[in-house]
Amino acid sequence: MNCDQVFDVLTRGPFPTGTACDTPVEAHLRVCPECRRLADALRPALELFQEAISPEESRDLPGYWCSVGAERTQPLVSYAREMEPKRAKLRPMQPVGQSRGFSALSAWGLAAALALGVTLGSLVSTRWSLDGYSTVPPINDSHVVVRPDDDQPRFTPTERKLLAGMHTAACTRHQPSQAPRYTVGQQQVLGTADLDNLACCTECHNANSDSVSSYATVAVSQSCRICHKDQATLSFD
Amino acid sequence: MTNAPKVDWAAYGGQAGTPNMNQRPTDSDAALVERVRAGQTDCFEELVRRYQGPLTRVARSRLGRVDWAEDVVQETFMAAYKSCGSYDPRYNFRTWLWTILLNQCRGHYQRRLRRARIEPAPAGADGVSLDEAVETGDTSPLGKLLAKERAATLESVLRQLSTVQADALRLRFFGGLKFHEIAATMQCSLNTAKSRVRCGLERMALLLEDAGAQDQSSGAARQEH
Repeated sequence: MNCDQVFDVLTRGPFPTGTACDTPVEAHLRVCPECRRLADALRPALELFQEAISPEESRDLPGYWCSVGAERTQPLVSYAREMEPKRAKLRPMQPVGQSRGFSALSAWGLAAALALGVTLGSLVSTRWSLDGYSTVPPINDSHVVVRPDDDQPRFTPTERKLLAGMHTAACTRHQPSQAPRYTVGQQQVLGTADLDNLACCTECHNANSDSVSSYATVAVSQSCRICHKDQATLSFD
Repeated sequence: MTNAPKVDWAAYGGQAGTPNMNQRPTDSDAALVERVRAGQTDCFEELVRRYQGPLTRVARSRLGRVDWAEDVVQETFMAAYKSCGSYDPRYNFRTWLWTILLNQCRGHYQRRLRRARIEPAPAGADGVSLDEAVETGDTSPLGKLLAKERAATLESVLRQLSTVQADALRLRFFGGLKFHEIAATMQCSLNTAKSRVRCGLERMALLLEDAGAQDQSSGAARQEH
């Protein structure tokens, strides 16, 4: 049973009917928070309609007897999404704890994803960390390039292409082959001109600053890596 | 009170209360209409029997008066009977009848408005209000009172909705129409019909919530006094 059919059943007559026919509808309501919220929100209005019709009158009205009409040609959910802002105004009548449970779950999920991203980033950066340098990994060697004498993993041209291809649209404006190569010292302060040439991260972050320390650049680069986490999890062993 | 004469369907060939032996109760609307067109006018009685209740409920809710609703339903059946000859059986009789009803309701309402401007209603000509005509299974005074209150609340809320939303809700809940029938009757898409029902119910829920909150605040104010 889908959302469309459930809406049909809910507006067809009294529900639950107290028969086995309720089982598929209730099963759907258990797994579909959207329909459950809608059912709870509409319940007072539906009850008012059902109470306004006397038992004699309701005899000639259709009800739900396990049969779901085959009248659907367009799914209800398509316009249900259009109605989302309006529905947001409705106070859900389901138990408060349940509603909070969902939002808490989402928040925990988001927090866990962030934590995972940061952990993975720090693991990779630790692996590639250098003395006197920041923890910026050489994800894209157009940004920060390490000294030649360091034992930093070197990317082959194929790997570089692969990395460039995985950048977001904003980052791919500067092709690795065209971008200048920089070596960022620990206490080095980059001027505006240098920052302009830093292709990816500092173009958006600290773009209006006259000068940004290497630490700031590192911080910015790291924050970018949270979004570009796919790159951070890559391994080039 | 009512200006339109009550129609005796027996006069059209049928005998009220005695079903035609040639006519099976399971005959489809289309089959019955076809028979009426072929001259078996008594078959129209069965159609009246099938649709009188739902049509009256919708008209009653739409017009707010039982006597007006009865008039409009009679006019609807009359119009359908007269137009049977021109009825195209490819179309659904049910939705055709409901479309006639909605048109009759609109026409009736406009006629009443015009008449009210020209001649004010005489004293005692209120007719049977909707509240007085509430039918309920509960015969106790309290049960009747509650039913009356619920009917008044429902009508009040429906009047605050847009006409199309309220009509869609009436057709769905009082008429028992399917969504595609509502769409055909209101001459809109299926999605629009569903949307009207859904948005109407959502708006009703908000209005009921507001009304409940107002009742609570007025109750609290009375307790303070």
